Amino acid sequence: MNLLLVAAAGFLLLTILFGLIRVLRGPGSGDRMLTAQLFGTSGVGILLLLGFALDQPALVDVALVFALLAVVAAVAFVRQHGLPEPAGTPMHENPVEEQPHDPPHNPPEDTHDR
Amino acid sequence: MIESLDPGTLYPFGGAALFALGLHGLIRRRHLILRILAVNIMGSGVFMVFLGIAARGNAPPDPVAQALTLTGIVVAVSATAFALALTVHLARLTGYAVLLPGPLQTHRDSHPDDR
Amino acid sequence: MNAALLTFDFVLLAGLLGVAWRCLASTDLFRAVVLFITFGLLLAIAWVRLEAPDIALAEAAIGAGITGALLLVTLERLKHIMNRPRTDTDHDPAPPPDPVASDADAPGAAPTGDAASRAADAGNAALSCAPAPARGRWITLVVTVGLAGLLMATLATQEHDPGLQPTVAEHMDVSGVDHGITAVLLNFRSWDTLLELAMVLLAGLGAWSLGRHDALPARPTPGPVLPGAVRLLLPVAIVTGVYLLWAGSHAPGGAFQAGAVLGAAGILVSLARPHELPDPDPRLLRIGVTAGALLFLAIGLWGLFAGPALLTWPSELAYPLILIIETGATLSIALTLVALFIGGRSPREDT
Repeated sequence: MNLLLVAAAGFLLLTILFGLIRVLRGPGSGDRMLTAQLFGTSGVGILLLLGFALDQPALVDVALVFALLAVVAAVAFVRQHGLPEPAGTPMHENPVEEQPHDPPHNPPEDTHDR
Repeated sequence: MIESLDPGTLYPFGGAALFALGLHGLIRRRHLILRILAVNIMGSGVFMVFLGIAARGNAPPDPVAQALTLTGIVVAVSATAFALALTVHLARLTGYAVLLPGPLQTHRDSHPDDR
Repeated sequence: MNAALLTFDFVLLAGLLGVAWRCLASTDLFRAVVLFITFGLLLAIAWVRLEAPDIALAEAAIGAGITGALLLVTLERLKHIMNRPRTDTDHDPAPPPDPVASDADAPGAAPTGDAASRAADAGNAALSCAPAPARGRWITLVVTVGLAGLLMATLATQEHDPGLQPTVAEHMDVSGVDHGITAVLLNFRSWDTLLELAMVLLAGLGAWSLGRHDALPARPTPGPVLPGAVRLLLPVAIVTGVYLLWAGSHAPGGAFQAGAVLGAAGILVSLARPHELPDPDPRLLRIGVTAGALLFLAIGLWGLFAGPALLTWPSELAYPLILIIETGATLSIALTLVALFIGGRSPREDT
């Protein structure tokens, strides 16, 4: 039984390593970030499987924290690569980082690709 | 042979390799974000050596080494955040996120080829 | 079973080294950051294999919640800074703006189409990094490979030593808690933890010394997904943080993990509402940021005069004292991490 759990964890690890291809090549930044998010899901699976295989109940807490906080990086990504800011939006009462130089029709995906 | 390769023996070697890899990146790359990442990877290598040695043998792992590693992770993340803030500040002053030789004033309006 | 675990270890180490290599060899900073997030995930699994669930918990909170968001926002800030057209400085001979707080003086003229396309190019260039020059490649490689060989030789010849585990296990009954790492952190080696809190405080003060914080770069996200997700996740994150704080006395968890989870929750709130960042009273904020270190120091001094020695506590009072210290430390760490993420003083402090 434990062997099966470890084998399943190893399989999930292999899927992460194959998914790295998409991070390395993935044409858009959205592809890369989405792959990293899916890695988080696989990571939760690996942690739970190892927690039962190695009899370490504390790993459930680790998986919980992972599942809970994976959304933070996703929100950060969406906030910076979502729709472009409409021109002239006051970002702050002291607009230090105003971005009027972004063409508003920019497709959101091509920000990082060359 | 397989019995002797417990994680406590295997992982310190990986930690040493990570440390050397991070050092290589720190020397070779010039962009400050990459250098900060390189220092973080070096630190992870050190933590891996520490925890690997602590986990050797059949006894429960050494809690002092684990506590020191936990302290190290806290300090590493604070220092990383501060370093990133300094990088943004440097880029605001000079326009470049690399360390350039010479006083600040000479770089403010110049365009060096290497970035 | 053993062979399967060994294969798992080898694949994991190969993945860690490969991800670190591609991350540091990347010419695209965004790709490097995504690879670094992946590196943190694999690292947490490695800590699990090394029987260190405490460290895995901290790595999960940091790697998933804080570092990723911090690096992504830093990249966006760098892009904004480098996108600022340089033509403005050419025909504007006024002295360069005071670097700390007066970037608002910079003219925000609408760019022409030409300048806009140039700015877009600069934006892409701002997030890329030229590959390392060929000069010096071999000597660096020889030095680092030699260093790795020396380190591995040292590790291979090192004798096995049980370390301090028996000593800690022997004194657990006077520590006041049932978890070895918490006992070490807050009783046996409390100096380390006090200095760690001071270090976190110092990093936060350093970020504040760089000036006022600017606006978080954020684009609009229409639709109910973001506010709904934040509304659902925030209470769960707070409960998880408090649970980890409480669990620290008998199971993996403790002040730092709880502080990191609560800090990540604060970062989530800042990202969800970047235009109305939490702007507390500066005095209250300062009290909160320093509470951990000051409380720890005060109780440590009390130990010097009324108890056994500096930074030690009598064993019957140890549990409540440790809980008080951990609560203060959690608060300070969470606040300092959010302050480091926002990256500057509150504008209210300058008025």
